[in-house]
Amino acid sequence: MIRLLAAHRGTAALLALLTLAGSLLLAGLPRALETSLDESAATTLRTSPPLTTALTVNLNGSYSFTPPKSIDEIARANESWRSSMPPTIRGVLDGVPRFGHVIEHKMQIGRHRYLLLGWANDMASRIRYVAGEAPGPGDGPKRLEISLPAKPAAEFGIKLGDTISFEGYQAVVTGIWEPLAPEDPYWSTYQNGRTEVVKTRPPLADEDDLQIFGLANGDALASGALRVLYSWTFQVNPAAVTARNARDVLDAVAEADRMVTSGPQTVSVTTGIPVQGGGSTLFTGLDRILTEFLDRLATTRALMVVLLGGFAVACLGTIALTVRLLGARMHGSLSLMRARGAALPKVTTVGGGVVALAVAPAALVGAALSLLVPGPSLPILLLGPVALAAAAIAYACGATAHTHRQPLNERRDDVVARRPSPRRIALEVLVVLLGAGGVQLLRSRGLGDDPFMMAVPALLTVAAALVALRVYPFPLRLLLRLAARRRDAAPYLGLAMAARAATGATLPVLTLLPALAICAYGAVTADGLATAQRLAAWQRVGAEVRVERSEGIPADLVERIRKTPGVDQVVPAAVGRTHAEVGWQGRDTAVVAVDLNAYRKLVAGSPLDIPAAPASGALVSSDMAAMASFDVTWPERLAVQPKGKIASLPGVDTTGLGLIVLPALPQHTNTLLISGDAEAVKAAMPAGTVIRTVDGTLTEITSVPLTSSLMTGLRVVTLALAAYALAAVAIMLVSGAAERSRALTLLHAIGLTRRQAKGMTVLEVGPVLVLAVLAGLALGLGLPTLLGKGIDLSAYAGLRFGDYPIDPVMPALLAGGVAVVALAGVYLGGSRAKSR
Amino acid sequence: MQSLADLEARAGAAKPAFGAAAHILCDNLVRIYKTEGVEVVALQGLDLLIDKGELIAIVGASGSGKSTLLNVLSGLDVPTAGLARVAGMDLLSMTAKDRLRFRRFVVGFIWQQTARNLLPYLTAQENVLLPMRLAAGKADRVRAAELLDLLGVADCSGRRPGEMSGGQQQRVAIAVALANSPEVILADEPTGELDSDTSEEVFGALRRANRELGVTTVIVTHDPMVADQVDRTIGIRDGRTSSETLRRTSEDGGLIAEEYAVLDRAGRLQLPRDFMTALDMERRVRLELERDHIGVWPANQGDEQS
Repeated sequence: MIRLLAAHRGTAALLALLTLAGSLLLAGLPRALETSLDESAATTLRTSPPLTTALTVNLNGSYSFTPPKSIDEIARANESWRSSMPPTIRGVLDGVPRFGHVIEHKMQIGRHRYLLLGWANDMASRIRYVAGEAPGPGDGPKRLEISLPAKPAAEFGIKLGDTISFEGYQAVVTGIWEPLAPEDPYWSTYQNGRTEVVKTRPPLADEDDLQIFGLANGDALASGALRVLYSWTFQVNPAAVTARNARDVLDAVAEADRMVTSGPQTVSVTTGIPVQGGGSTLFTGLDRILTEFLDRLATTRALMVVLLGGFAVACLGTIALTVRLLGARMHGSLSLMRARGAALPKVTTVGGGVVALAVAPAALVGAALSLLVPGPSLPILLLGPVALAAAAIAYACGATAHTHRQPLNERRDDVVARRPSPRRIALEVLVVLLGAGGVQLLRSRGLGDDPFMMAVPALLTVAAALVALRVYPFPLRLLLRLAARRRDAAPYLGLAMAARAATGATLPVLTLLPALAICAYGAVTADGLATAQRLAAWQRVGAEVRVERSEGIPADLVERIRKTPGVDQVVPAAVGRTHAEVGWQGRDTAVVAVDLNAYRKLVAGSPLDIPAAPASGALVSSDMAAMASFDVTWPERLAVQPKGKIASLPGVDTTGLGLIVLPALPQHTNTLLISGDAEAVKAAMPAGTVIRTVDGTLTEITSVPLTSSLMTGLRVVTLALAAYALAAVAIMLVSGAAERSRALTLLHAIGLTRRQAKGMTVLEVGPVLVLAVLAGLALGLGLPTLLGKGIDLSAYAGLRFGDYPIDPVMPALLAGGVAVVALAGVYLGGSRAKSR
Repeated sequence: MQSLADLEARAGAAKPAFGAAAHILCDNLVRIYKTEGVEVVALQGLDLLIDKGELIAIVGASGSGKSTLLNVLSGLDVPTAGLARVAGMDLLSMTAKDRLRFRRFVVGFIWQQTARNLLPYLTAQENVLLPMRLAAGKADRVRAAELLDLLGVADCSGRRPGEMSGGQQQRVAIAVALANSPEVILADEPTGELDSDTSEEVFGALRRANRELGVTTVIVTHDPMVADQVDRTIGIRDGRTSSETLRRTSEDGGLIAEEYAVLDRAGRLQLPRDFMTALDMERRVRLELERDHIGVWPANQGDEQS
């Protein structure tokens, strides 16, 4: 067996190489993708505000039968809460205890001055007393000791030893402290507003309310008469949430929520504290974050399944072609063995064994190499290489057994070829029906986790290949008829050879067409995604550079920007919100005052489409368009006369709001829409301005790990598919070389020129190639439409396929490139035939 | 004068069947290749008897059915109808397993293309050992060496086919065919690709195997040199045996070859084509039974018109 392998080492090496590359990609790509999915999960959690990713249990002491009365009890309750969380949640928590309590209502201690009292378990270690000491238990139920942060205390004019009175309570200031590290994220994350005066403006008030935080003695506050809110924060460790456990974590969050809020009330035997229910609520943003992440994850996986499925088909096809080539090369030896008395199992073992010797180590090496790709070790990823090798060996065994089932397997020239059996036709019809039905299901149900659904796109490409093969003879016959009328015999002979080779074209077409279809789909998706991301970036910013300054932008500054070198055009705008007096209750709307015609000119050539300005009046969202006129208060009190409808304007957030676009009001300018150099604008603007650029936003969109790895994956698979398609053509060419060479030698003897021979070879292989390329390209371009909502990329760019045009240039170039390279190879190969 | 009892005994006694003693027997053998309703009749009721230890040649034009006959006899192909028996084994009723055993131990064969007989990546000796391994799973190196020696290619035993001449390759192929001590050797134009000197060597090797090992040898050939040196040459035309040439040595040491037409069991006879052409015989002839022969005349004008 080894010597047989050595005798055909070239073909075997090709087989091994194809298997190795296939295994590497099939195992490595999902692995790399899993890594970036995990990274993406971690990044999503890490970049979200920590309190939104944490699970915070809040307990209102007033509604609880047995609220904790000391720090010890709060700490025990912390453990109690933690242990009653679902195991999946417990597995992803960072384990740091965070709990504390604050009074339910802030206490008024003066005109527009308030005091909030509280305590947190981890605050004491992060502050330093600049005067006095930590508050003690106090002298009685109505006399408290507190400590205050230094800066707010100074602002409030409170000094050490002062007594603050409120609602019958007296709080003695026993200490003044300041944070050890004010920039420690702890303060902004968990204790926001504790180290400074918090200003809020109540409705209809003309002065801000000021609030100072007072750190109380934890035990005293808990056991006192003040109504207290307790909170226990369980922070999720971002690294612990991966693409694989995100769904479980999401489910567990819902379970935790049920447990905290609506579970039966039980009292912990050890602490006497309710572990479930009883005025407790769970606050978290984790469920929303995870749901968004999972949507994106599902899309990525779906897309990768489609691509890898297509790649697997192409890979299997190419490997099968190579196995067939190897089988043809070994045919003589195996026939001889069979004739000399080898039983069928023996011959099958030898035929399959040679293939196994080539593919098994290659698949192993491929799988081992894929382990070098950083990523989680998932045993299921080894399934790809194993399946690839097993399929190759099974095909080799099957083909060998079929070929050598009779000891004499020569084809007689005087016996016509067999027509396809009804069984085969039935199978083909079944595949086509399954493909068509699957697509319909996919469009209505989405890809999901159903293995059949995942196989649908690949099945569809195979079905298309089968249909193409059935249709193929008709145009070929037409061409033959045309060629027969010409004086030159070479085209006719070439096409006749193509027609003769039609039965052997099944496997190449079954390989090439899916490869090119998925290749084109990959290219169109990558291209579409890039377009969509660019469009999304434009829509988010609204202009090449967008400058926003809440304090307003004076006219002279606008002029200065206009004259800054590098700045082409500037359109000033006022963007804000108002309450439109529409209907009974009015309507909150976004207001933009801008010269639409200037804006249109500014963004000409970009993907944005800005409506033209009406001759007079304003454009409004459709819910207000029916009004003849209504009033608004911002940017100034004026009457709006709707003259047209507008749904949205780039760069303006209208979530839950109406939209009014007014003519420009230069005196209220707070936004500049600029085309030109962002750096020049940055240099010219005063501090406190927010500058956003399309490029910056695009980078933000594309640098998400999931997006970048998806794009890399798309490109790698697309290129690999093109390479496998080329390999398939080369193998197809080599497979028919002997017969072609015989025919050409004969024809050379009767006067065929070398040039004609080349032309003939091109015409022989060309039709199959052109068929596969055209059908593959058409299917690839049609796949986004066919799959429709089944694979929705909106999670990546906020846009669906169909929201932007599909650009066929890139896929066409790719498919055309494959065809041209292949035909060039064929043309050059055609001249070699003569020298044989 | 025979008694009634004698006659009864003779009638009741089992008559030896047709060709019961023959080593290779074909009786009314038919092989039809059929696909999609198109039939090619390669053998159309062929009769053949070959005795054990005979060395015979089968000659015939291209497409006359020689190779089909050889494929049937070697167990590689299954006849459509008729009777075919080789070394007592009925080729029509054999199971796949029997057929395998038949190919392993009963027949050995040699193809025309030298390259097709040997595995190119094995040495001569390994090629000879291969059928033994395939059949019994063990290799008798001594026998392999003996066979190579008998066929005059002992010096090639370590060489691969690519390192041997065509004649040497064919002689190694004979050794391979003889590896499992078959009773019959079938050779399909073994000298077809060789020049006359080499052909002589290869034929000599076949004859030696036939004489020294007593193997029944059937050679399909176009080569007159081969056809002239065997005891019996059987001609095949249109899928039937048409003639036989017997050779014997005369009393003065000269070789006498006599060509006979074959009379089958149904009494059918093929007239040589040139005889028919010479006398313009077509469609029908007139036969007349004479005392010691049968006369065949072309149909006269009046007969033709009737």
